[in-house]
Amino acid sequence: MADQVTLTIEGREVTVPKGSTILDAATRLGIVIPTFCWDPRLRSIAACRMCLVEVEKSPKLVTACAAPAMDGMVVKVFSDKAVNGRKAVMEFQLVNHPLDCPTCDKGGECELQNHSFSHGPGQKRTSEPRNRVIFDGKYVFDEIPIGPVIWYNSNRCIKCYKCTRLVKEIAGDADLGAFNRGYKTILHRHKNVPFKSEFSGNTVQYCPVGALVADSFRFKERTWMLEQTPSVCHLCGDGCNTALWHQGQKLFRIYARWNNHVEDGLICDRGRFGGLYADDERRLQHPQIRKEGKLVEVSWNEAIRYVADMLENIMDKHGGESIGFIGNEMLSNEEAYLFNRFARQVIGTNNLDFRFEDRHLPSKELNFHLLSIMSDRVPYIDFKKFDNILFVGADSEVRHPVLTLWVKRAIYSGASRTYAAYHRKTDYNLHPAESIEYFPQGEYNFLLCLYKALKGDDIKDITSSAGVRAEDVEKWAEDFKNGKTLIFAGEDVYNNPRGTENIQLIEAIRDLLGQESKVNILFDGANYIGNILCGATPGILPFGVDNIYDNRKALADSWGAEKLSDSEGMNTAEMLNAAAEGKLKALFILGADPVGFYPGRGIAEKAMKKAEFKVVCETFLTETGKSADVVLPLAAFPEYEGTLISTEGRLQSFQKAYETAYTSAEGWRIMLRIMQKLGFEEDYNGPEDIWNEIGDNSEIFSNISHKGVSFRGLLIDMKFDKKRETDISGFEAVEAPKPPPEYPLILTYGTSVYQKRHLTHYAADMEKIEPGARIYMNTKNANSIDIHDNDTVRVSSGKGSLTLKLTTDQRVRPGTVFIPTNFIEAEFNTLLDSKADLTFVKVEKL
Amino acid sequence: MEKILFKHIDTPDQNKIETYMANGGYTALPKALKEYKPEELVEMVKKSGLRGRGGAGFPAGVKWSFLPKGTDRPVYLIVNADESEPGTFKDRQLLEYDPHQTLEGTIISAYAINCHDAFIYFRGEFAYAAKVMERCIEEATEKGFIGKNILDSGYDLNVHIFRGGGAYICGEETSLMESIEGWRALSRQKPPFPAGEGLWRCPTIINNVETLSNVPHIVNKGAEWFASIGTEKSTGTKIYCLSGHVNRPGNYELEMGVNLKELIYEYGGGILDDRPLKAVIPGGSSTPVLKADEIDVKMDFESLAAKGTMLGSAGVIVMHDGTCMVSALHRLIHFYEHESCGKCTPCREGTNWMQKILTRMIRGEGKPEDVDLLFDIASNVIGNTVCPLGDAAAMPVMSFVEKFRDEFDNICNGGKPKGTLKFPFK
Repeated sequence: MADQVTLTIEGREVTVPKGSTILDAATRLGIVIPTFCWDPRLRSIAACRMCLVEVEKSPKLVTACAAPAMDGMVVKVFSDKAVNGRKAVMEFQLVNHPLDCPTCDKGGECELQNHSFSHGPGQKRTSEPRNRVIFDGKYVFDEIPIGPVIWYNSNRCIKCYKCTRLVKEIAGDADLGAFNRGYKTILHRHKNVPFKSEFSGNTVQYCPVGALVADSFRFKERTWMLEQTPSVCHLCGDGCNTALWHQGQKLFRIYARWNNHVEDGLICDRGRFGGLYADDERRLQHPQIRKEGKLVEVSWNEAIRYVADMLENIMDKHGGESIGFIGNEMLSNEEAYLFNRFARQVIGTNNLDFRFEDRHLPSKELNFHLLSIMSDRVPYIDFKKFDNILFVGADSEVRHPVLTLWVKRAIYSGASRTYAAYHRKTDYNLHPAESIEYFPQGEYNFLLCLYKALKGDDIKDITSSAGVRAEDVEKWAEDFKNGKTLIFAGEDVYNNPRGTENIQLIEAIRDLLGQESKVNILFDGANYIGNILCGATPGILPFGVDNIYDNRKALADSWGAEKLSDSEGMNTAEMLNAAAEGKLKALFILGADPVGFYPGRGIAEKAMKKAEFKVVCETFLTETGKSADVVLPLAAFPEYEGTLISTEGRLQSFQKAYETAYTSAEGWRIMLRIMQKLGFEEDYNGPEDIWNEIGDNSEIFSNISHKGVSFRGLLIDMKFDKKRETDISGFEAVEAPKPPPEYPLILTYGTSVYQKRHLTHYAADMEKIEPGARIYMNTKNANSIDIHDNDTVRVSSGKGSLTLKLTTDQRVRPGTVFIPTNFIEAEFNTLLDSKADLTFVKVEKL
Repeated sequence: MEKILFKHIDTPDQNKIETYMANGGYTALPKALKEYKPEELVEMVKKSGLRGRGGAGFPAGVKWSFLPKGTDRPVYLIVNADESEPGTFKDRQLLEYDPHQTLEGTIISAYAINCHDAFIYFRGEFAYAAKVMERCIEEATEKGFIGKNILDSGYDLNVHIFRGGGAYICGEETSLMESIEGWRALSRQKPPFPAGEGLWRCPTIINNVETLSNVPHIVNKGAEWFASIGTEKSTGTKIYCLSGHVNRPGNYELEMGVNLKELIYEYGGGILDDRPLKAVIPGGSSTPVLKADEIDVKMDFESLAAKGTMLGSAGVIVMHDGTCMVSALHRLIHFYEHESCGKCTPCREGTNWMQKILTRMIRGEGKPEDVDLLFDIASNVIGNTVCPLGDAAAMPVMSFVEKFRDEFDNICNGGKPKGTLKFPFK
């Protein structure tokens, strides 16, 4: 065969595709060749020379990691010449290595140790003192911090260049570089610039020696004392596979588990360091009940009984419809399903929702529409098959760091070009990306412009309503006509007053571009799709069934319930409004913090004040929890198991690392015990039982056992009808937002790259990387009102005001300001008007 | 013998285009463009037997024919003027005194390999030569020898000047390309070879200044004429750079295969102060050393290879009996240790380790087992590195220790250095 080559390694023949290296071929035979600098994701540089092997007819030893396998090649891995060559390299590696293994955090998992044992000469021949690194004119003897969370010991470094290459070739950052020459070479950050790549933690995981050490793990524990448990990161929707390294109930570190279909071993710092909040001592330690205005610690039995009694009371007095359920998008499928059974069957209400960080929540129809689009989605590994990748309304690098890595790979390999449309420039690293910035909430107008440009209509009249230039949109349209296009519709497209129209427009654009083009919806939240499919929204019953009479009847029958509520049900925004008006009497809040994060703090606070009875289950005491009647300590993610569906539509399971700490309890257990007190007759031993019930009743999840969700996860087939008829002919551009003169700036907000709500604030590392909320403003705007970087400013809207430090940022669109939402202490949502679509603010220097 | 490259080297103003043309310059270029197809020129250079003058001695025409046929990528030509091998100083003279000769060769060669962008990579220290070349390119462009539609042949060529930062490693072809691309000059693993994937991952031909300077003469006088000069396998003339303890150091253009003894004693005027000869490094500092009784050898690629050394860049370094070989080696290794790029392990650590051992030796702190250790380290470096710099450092160590073992043993057993020369290095 022309594209295959056959070679002999250690007397065994092997056939590999053309272009493979000797190392690939040897790996196929199970022959282990040691390497330091080789990494499957990086281009071979053959710097460490550890993989030297002998090839017949070649006078020199060759590096297996870089030498292409040729037909008829005869390779000897264990000949004297090859073994001596590797022994020589190993000796050179150790000449100046400090051999401080007893105090090195890499000890036990160090490649240098391992290769030294198996390939080293076993004795040293040096009598000279070992070289010590000089940097900035000073000798460096010990670890020095090179970034907020990374320490560097240059003496241990063996110059494999993996860190610089990972940061440069994959993340696209230029944080690390090589300095000096020869034996004085060091890999270091640039002078006075901290190592702050969003993917910096990966350099620690893949450093073959202990040169780069994470602050959170430094001098904490020997690696062989730790256990590993496979898990899935829950801090965004990308579904990275992680390994939790723990000892007892203490979580030491989170590493990538290397699923080459999902994160390919590279996770972001939020997932790596942010997840370390799980064993923080500030966690809620006991159930608490408000007695005489104060939260008092009580036993679980008392708390559960109290909650059940109170709920029963309210049900008797006002009916089940007067109780609302607010969950969160990290709920596992099992929790979401039980949450839905709790609300619909035991309480008898359709007031349940898992979304609480947005106000313009997609309707039932829109959710069905999103699911139908996602039935024809593109998995991560296929991004590179598209010529153009368009992001609309997505802060992709921030909300989906690892998905963005796959896009970057497509760009850096030269396969794709990227286009980003958002209300600010999203990312410098996506170079070479073209960027269009429209007005906040201008997705609708922008998509309309793009649609018309693609159809060849004149768009000069409507581009001003989107705040974009006609020639830019026309150029994009021209580009998209050539080649296949993948459109990412971000959260701001559907969490939008015109969400339905936006999605219809996106589908229309895709149809114009032809069959080859695809749309992917981006979902923020570890289990957004799973929550919808397991029934955690008012309009959709479990397994993606419309909440209509027949379906309700069938569901009630399968549950053995008499009757389910016939009401429409309320989503979070409606529930909070109803509670604030006194129409909802009780709220059951599971892992959600509406006061802290619902856009409209006023309404959330009012709801909490007005409702008669509020139960909050949380890991930490939140703003919402402070005004609750009952606070129940919720287990953190290493303490329970379950399944999640990522934004890629991949079903994955995460395992329990250790028993629940601090007398907290898993969400499903808390709900089940309250439900049983309220007369629920079934019992589950754990999430697996719940999953079996889900699988028995659902078409989508049938025949997938809990353990059957394999190492790589499963791309689920959602089986929603692929084509929906939409009519967009009557769509007209809407007016551009006009800020009133007293509040001249439009407020935009979104997540920050390092934080996930209040949770990551309890991880010490995150505080170091991003010490607090700031307000971001375009330099032009700032200069016009004489404000500069690091000034303290007051931001005020009609609803309230905040005092924040300001950062001038070219990425922010002129005329707008940006505040990251995930800082509890900043209370960004006090500014927001829960009625108006957009909030206008003014900024004054203090 | 008539000189070829150095024929007009002493002519005043030879580096101006008028003088160059008056002395028969730029006659080969129109001939090549009008009378020959590119493939015919490659064939001609192949036939002439012209071998690379940079050190490895690879036949230039054969190298050119390695370019992929019918590629849609641009082809680049690089002129390697990063001459920094200790003991070698021929290119500098060519570039400063007769740069048009090199430039004409560059243009013809670029035409032969169908390249439209040629780069001349100057060693950082060759500031004057680069300045001269800049003017020469302007002059040639004015005359229509460079630029669009050269001499109405429809052939376009741009010649770019690139100045290095003064690192020895930049003379290594792949590092040189990294340097042009704007990265740290770290050598690349071969294969892929430059002819397939070189500058910006495009097919690239890289040749030494002296090699390309020969091309106009081959075009003018024919491949047979060139092949008739020199020995059977090493054709043409060679510029020998004579330095060290000789009475008349300098560049000598002589026929390939001149006897080394003749070179030193006749052309070089004998050893300084009429002292006995001790050792000769025949081809630049990285080539294995020859002892005094081994110098009756022809200076061509094959004869020197038969003696276990190399012609290299023909930088002949002569050492008389006052030289302490340990100190000389120490100085050499100091250079390689300083110039190692630090990419691959054996070279980065090996040169430093050898330097440490030699430092100890010349301080009188050497141990008897150090001599074997030194040799062993060198033999562990050689052949195991990415680029030839590691070999270049290891070869002199191995040959010095092999051939002057008694001096090393003496110094490691508490003896005094034999030589009288003092080196100002620690």
